[in-house]
Amino acid sequence: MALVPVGHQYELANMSFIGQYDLLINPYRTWGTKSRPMPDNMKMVDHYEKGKYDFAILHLDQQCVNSRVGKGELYKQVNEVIQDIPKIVINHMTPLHDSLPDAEVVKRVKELVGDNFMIVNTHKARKMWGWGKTIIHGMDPDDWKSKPKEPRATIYVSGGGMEKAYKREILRNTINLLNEWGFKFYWIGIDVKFATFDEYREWLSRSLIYMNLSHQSPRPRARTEAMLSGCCIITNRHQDADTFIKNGKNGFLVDEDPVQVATLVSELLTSRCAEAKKIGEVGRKFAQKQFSRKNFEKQWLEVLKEVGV
Amino acid sequence: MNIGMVTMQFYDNRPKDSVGSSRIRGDWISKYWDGCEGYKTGKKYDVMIFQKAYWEDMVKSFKGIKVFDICDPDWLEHRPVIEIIRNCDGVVTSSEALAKQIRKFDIGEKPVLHIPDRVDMEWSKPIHGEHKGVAKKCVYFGYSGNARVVLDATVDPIRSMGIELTVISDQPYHSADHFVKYDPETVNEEIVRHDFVLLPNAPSSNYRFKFKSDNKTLQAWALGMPVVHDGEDLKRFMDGSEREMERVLRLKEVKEKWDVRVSVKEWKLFIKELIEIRGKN
Repeated sequence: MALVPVGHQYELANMSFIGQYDLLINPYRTWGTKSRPMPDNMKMVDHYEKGKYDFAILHLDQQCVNSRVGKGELYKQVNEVIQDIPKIVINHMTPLHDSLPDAEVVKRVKELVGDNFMIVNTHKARKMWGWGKTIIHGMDPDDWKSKPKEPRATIYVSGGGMEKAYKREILRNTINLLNEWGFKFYWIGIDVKFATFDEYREWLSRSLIYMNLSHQSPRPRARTEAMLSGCCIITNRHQDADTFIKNGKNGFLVDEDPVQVATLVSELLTSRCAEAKKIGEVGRKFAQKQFSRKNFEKQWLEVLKEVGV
Repeated sequence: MNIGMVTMQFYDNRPKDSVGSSRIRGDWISKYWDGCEGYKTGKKYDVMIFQKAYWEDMVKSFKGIKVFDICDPDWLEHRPVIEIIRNCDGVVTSSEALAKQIRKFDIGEKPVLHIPDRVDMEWSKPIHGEHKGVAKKCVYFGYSGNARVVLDATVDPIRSMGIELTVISDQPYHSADHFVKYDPETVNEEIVRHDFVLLPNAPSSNYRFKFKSDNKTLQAWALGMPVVHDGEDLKRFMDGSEREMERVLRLKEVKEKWDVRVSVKEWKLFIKELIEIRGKN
């Protein structure tokens, strides 16, 4: 099994049928032990050894069409070096690019992917790209606990980059409104930082509300992690969210409207906190079934079969 | 033998042609060395050269021959110079001063070799034609931070001779008559529009400057440009026939002594030496 540096490795390496899982040392991405402990079957290697691996996983997204972006260069180099085994390309974004039209991005990504097998993480993203296979990620439910909830709302999204995809002004405007109304909102990575994976999990397990306002980030892992931790999810409808969130049952669907979102958050933190807690628990049970490691492995086995591993 | 050249430009993900030392000490070396190429992630190499690339993970993991190439006193910038060197087989420096300093550091028994910056004659185009008449225009090129240090004391004498100063840099220099934004694609063409290149000697009291190589002087000579370092040079190169004599003399010298292909020969011998040392150990 050969693996090339991508995010979301933790669940991949932990799949039950994976033996050795090697990561290529590279200048742009490394394993952040603060975020996730390194699985026992994983190690960093300084080169690709022909004949040693069954398949390779590469990563790209819409930013890779820009040759000056390091991860794009990394993709190209590794794709050139590995020629003897099936290559599976994980693309967890959409064609929405900060400066190029969608059609141009699709064309360039298609050239980059070539004959490799591409995986996306929502059906909507697959439709936008026009090809690829959707794998809905799954996690070990035992990794995520639900504990008595502090009346707080939180989010985990990077602070900058891919502005069109993340449309952070909606989030910032929502936070500003909440601040004006006297509420504190916790942006993970900005307002709160964690030294370990355990600290992060503990934070989610005790947070009442998790909000996702990313415009077109198809399936943020943190939203799933929050759902598995019993947080009440508030998310926009984009990228299939309305296919698994039943409004008012296992989470809330909102528009890109800061007033609407801030009003809902403020109510759930105060007069409707018991409702939020209940909805969070329903969401957690749903996620444990829907976003399980078992489902994740099943989808991956199908892909591996399809690429001839 | 497969040799992977990791340049600072690659490792720090800088734009193409934005780092002079990566071009001079990395790309040009790879270009004339069969088996040597810009490092490709995942590829297996026998030898890796880290050109000002402080890649600790790789230096510690890679088992082949490793050489660290250094061209600045990066220990003044909190770079892990010693840690990198101790994990390499040898060190190459761009100046003798750097080599001498590094040999004094806590690096163990690592061979340290000075291989000077040289020039790629194919890159050194266009070449200035015959120099004629009294000098009217001079040019300085280099980073703006260095420009301030070396030019401030030189501007007045230049002005008093009636010479216009062009500065090619990343940022404007306050006393220049003309400013041209540095662009690796056009810098040579800009330089040869002038009568001489002004590269004043750096103040000897500046610790950092004592490690600098003379690559800009070589670049200028390779373009057929006389270089003014001090007042004596200035007086001499006001005259067109002196500049022309200098042009012919230095072009010959560059071709014989400062062609980057000479550096490649030195690199090959050094790698051979490092392999032998590994064998003994």
